Amino acid sequence: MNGMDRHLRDLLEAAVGEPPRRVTAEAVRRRVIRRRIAEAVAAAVTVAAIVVAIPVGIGALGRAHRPPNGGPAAVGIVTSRHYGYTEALPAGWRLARQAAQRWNGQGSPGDGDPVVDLFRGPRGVEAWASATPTKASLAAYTVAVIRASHANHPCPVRPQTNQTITISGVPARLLGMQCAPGSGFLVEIAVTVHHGTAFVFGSQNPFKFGSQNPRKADRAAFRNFLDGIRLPR
Amino acid sequence: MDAEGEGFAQFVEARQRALQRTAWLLTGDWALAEDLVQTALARSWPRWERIRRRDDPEIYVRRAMVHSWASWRRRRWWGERATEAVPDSPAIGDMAAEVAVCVTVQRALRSLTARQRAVLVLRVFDDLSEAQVAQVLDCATGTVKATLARAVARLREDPRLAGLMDRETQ
Repeated sequence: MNGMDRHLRDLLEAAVGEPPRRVTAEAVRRRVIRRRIAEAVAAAVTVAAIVVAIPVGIGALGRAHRPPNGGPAAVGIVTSRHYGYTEALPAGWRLARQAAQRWNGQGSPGDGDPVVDLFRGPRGVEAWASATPTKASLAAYTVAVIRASHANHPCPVRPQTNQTITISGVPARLLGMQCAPGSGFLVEIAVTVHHGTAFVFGSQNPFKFGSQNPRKADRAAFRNFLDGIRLPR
Repeated sequence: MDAEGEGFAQFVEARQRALQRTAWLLTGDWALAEDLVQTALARSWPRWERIRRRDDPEIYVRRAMVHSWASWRRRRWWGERATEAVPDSPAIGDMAAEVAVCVTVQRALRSLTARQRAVLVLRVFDDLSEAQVAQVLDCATGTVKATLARAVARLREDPRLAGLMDRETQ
């Protein structure tokens, strides 16, 4: 320190004077405790806000997934691990299992295949879903699905019904067929192509035509299921 | 009280006066100075044992003090502004001279930037080495030297402070 620094220091010394109050360790401790209490209160308020916000958010999400045609509200949201769509489960539906692996696009996977997400609905109705990349149009892919169903299952060459519907606002085809024709199960398959991916949603009524005809309510259950689908953006 | 608490209490007891005086030179206000020292100590207390083992507690507390002060200055409510005219305080005799020194020094310090003031106070008043000041301010030793030189040059430009310094020299 040079002479000038010393003079400066003396001036600073002269200017400072003595502190009017002492700072004690006890005062510091009290301050720390006050701060911790304030932090704990803030954390508790944050947690309370989150606890309130989560059910409200889930409720809002459920309302967002309410089918546009005024169908039943969702009882849960399922996001497909492999295929990316979400399903707002209508009342009576639940996820039975997620697909164990992705579908390679070959064949016509049904409810027992590990490549499908499987859902169970009211009165034993089942639905399953799979998806695969495609460059085909909806019409071409629908033809491929019909052929594959015929080749892999006892389904007819031509479905009994072939309707235009929408899934998540995207044009789709809904096929209805008895497998095997004239008896067997009612199988409905909904097909759509979205952003280069073909989504196939199948449903099977548990009752054989020969024993007990499928009810309108069972068809409606699958429509409700399809209404809950949201395709990935 | 445990050994750690005892050590902290002893440090506060021994160093609170020096810390408050440094804080006053930074803030220019005793209430703020006390608050600043308490804030720095409150930050240090929960990790006191670690500080004591790994660091020089004095350096750590001063660093906490300077950083807290810098953060206070960045807040909008910080109302201190450099001013040309400092109101005169009523005083007589020797007390008038003391007040004059105090006011002149305060005004001169206010003309410095925050970093210049911190370097000046730590290096000149607290007599920390350049390396220690660099440690407190998280900067290079060369920066400390350059900042101190600029701070002193700036103070020399203040005619009242220069007059006081000349008087001290004589």
